[in-house]
Amino acid sequence: MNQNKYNHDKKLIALVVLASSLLLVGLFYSIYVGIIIPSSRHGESLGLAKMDVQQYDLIVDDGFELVIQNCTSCHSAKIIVNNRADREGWLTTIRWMQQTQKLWNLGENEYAILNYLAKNYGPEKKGRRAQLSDIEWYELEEGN
Amino acid sequence: MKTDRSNTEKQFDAHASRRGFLKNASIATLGMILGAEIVFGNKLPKGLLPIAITGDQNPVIPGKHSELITLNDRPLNVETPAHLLDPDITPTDVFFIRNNGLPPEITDASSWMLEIAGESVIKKTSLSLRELKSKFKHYSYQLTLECAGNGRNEFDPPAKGNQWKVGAVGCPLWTGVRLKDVLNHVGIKGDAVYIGYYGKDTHLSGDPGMSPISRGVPISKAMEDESLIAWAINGEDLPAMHGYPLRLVFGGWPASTCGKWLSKIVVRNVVHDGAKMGDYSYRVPKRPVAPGEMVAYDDMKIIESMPVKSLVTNPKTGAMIKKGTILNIRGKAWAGDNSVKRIQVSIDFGSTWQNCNLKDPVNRLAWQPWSTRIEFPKKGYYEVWAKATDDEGRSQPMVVPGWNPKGYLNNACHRIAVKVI
Ligand code: HEC
Repeated sequence: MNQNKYNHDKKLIALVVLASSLLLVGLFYSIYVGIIIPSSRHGESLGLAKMDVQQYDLIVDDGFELVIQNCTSCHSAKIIVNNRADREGWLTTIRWMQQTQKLWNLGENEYAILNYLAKNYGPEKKGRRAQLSDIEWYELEEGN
Repeated sequence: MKTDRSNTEKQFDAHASRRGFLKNASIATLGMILGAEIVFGNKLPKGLLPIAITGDQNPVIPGKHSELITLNDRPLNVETPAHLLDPDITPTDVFFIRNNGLPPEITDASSWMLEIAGESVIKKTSLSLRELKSKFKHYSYQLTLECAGNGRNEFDPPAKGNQWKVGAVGCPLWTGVRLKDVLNHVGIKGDAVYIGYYGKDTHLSGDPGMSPISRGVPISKAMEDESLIAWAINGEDLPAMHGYPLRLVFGGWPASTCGKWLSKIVVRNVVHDGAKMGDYSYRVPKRPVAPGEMVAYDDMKIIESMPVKSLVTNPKTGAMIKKGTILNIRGKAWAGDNSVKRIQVSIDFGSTWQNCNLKDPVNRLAWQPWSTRIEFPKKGYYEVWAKATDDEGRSQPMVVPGWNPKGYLNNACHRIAVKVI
């Protein structure tokens, strides 16, 4: 019994150590890659391990890097991810931020940023009223 | 079995150690990991890690219920799931947060000053928090605060901004002094038309010269009995996220009029022109427009009283009940400056409606609790829809009301799903 538990614990510790070292190696590798090729276009080569890329909540696609650089210093990426608009709509928001919220001139990057936003965060048809969705069903007892 | 267990534990440990590591890392190190500098990282509210790093859908917000829904973590914009609004007085830990900028860090409010200025005050005056509390009579009211953009997520074409669902509303108990008592004490000129506020929050860009938001109300609203300069919510000091140590509270109007971290009130002889009073912020078209239509600025007007609305707060959506169970349905209803006259529910997608018990508001501008009991006729999928009608006969629409460029004032009836099994 005890011996078994000991073995099991040993295995666990080994796994944890292995997992942590993999993680550290991954982290340092990603920093390393980030320094070597800072201007490449994809998140993976931006210096982010795959897992970290997802932490941005932003879709990894052409222009991703520009969006992180230009759009996440004032507010988090959540405000971007939660919004939907066509190219013109995104441009309106950018102009509004430039006129009233101190967003800088995006220069030649504006084209790529708009491409990215319109492609990945374009409008979805919702109609006049959507179905109820994401319902988590649970049992409710009498006397609720 | 064994492998299963250790796999799960391995994942958990890997996650935990990574989180632990990141929590202890400095902003600069985090920036290094992310491969990009976190500009203004020093302005992150305490206790929060940027979502980019934690990947948390719902970061832990000090003093807040863990089931709240975070729409944005910087600035904090957090809404309440409908079922947490079931208590008649909204508990502070579930009350929604709409920050436009970064809250100030205030640990000692003993030297806090409120300045009353503007072209329509007779004499510019400064009052300390202590003077406010000692010179004027205290009042407590339950006042409904709702973000004008509550429900924005339903508009089509989509409207930009925080994609609020139903929970950017609440009705806590506020304590403070009447704004009118303070204005009368200072003395205002006959030409006063508006008041505006300034707070100590900072603009997201970090520019100290910019105010993130500076809105206000017409003088008539400012002079109402229930318009407060408040320091307490539910009997306690305002938490940092809700404006500590001082804020304005105007029940029934867009909550953006209720300036937080209040340091200055200006009495204006024109409509106040602070940040987010102009452009399209908190404005709707003067006339009905087609979905997606371009609306000229001159055709927009400032939102004042909020429309009639209600929520089903019990049960939580998704309830499965046994056939024969009588379901207790409860909720809240409110109507801006008006009161609610009738509340009805439908379990057949709006074909028939039944009246519910509706309480009077505890005071003007407080929401009204309502309730009913329903027995469902047979097994199956149901939706409970609630529809309130105000004292001028205006009801909530069942579909999304008039589209507007910034997605305000969606008061479509609330729906919850119920299965009878
Ligand atoms: C200099 C600061 C700054 C930068 C940089 C910035 N924004 Fe913003 N943005 C703001 C502010 C301030 C708001 C208003 C936030 C609020 O009200 O909660 C905002 C709001 C938004 C909104 C909501 C719009 C609305 O109508 O409320 C979107 C979408 C958005 N930003 C996208 C972007 C994108 C995309 C970029 C990159 C091109 C970007 N932001 C860069 C300051 C900035």
